[in-house]
Amino acid sequence: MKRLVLIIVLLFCFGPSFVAAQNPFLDQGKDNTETERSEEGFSPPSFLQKIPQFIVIWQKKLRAMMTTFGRDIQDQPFGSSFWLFLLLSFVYGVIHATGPGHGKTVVASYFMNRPGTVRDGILMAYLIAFFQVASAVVIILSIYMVMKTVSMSSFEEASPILYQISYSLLCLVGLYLFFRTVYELVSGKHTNSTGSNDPGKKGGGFITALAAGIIPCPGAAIIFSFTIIIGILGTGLLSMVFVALGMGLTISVASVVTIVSRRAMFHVTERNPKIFVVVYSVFSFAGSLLLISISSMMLLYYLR
Amino acid sequence: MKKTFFALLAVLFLFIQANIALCHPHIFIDAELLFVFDDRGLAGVKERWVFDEMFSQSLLVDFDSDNDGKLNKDDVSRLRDIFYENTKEYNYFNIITIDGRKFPIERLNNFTVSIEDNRIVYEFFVSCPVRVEPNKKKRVKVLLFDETIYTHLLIEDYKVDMKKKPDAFSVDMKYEMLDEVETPLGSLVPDSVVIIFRKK
Repeated sequence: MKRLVLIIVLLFCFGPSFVAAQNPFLDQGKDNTETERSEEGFSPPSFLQKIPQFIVIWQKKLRAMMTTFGRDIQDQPFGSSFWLFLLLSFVYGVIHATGPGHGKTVVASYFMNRPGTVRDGILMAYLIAFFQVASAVVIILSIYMVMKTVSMSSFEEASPILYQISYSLLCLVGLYLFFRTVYELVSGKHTNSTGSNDPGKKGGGFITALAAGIIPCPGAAIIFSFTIIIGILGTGLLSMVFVALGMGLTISVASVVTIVSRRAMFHVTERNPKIFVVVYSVFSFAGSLLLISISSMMLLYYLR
Repeated sequence: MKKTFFALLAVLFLFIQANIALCHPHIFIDAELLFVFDDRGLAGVKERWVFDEMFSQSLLVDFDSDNDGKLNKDDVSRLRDIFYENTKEYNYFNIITIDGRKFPIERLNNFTVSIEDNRIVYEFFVSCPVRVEPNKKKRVKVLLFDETIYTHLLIEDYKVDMKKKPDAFSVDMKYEMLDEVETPLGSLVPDSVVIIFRKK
């Protein structure tokens, strides 16, 4: 029991921090200048430096190319630009999702805590990607139908409530996983399984994916609204499928790596019950605490 | 036992990595800097920000009130006010240091917005007076940076304007790169511009 408490305390000490962002050039009807910052350093915070610069630059290049192809599609709806636009949408999805966010932390923390197969991991990753893109599409289309225009300001105004719902649900999922882990460890039900006998596995994964996915992807929203502005709505809708397919691929990497690592570690240590319980605790508590801490910090930020 | 130790380390590492922000660039800006000198030294920096076309079109939908493809005086005022309100606490995305000390920007001057090739362009002047003492070098570093990472700003070009006092100062300028962005894949991007100057 002492060991369990020590693991939880240690994981809390190394807990995550966050920076939230909103569009600084649009009026969201909310003061977005509240992010806590250090006044001491003059260099960019270290998290920026961890983002490979080429990912940012490639996104920029892709967006520029998509803009050009989008304009070509206006003249030639089914020319080569149409297919290139869809292809680049897929690539954009892959690269865009390599940046922070987009559910990688959620799938990783979920599968650190819960057992699963590679198929489960891919399914959950694609669910999150499709939910995030669908959420953006639904908001933009709703704005378009009501206002007859695609206002990104309205999109920004609609987003915070979805963030609040999402992070509330994710926090609840994290708490459920935390207490379930405590129950499993106390009652000795911690085993190395793929969870195939777990009746709540599919439902839990679906709820978690839905909770994470209702946050609309602003990257998808900007591309989709652009296609409406230049009058290629059909291509825009199709391109969103490709963006989601690309994003799902990247998120799948995070979930599959987590699932395979967890299974390998459990397999290596399951013969020694003392070590196994420590490994099981670290994986499970790290997963649930990660979900709780990230979602509660984000929730507090959006409730302010 | 070793494997277990490394695995636990890996989990902790994953856990700590989660502090990377839950956000990433959605707006891309190409910036140009013009360091303007007067007879005392550096007067300030004139900045020109060109937004990516995709986001520019969204901005136009929101701010071109009469849908004529142009921005009138009121549209520009709204854009300026929102930009000021949202970025003032972030020093208008300018991290300027003078001899290593951070320079807080009170306000921007001569703010204008225009449209060029379907792209929105912000232009403004950052008053940042640096008086040059005889035989003393001054070092000013300008980094354009949105710490929420929603916006990515790239300094595409930088120049010096010394029309008011030609040949009064000797100036060295260079990009300064962050070591951390050096990757095997290349694509090194200058992150800041450093200008070192002294009286001739």
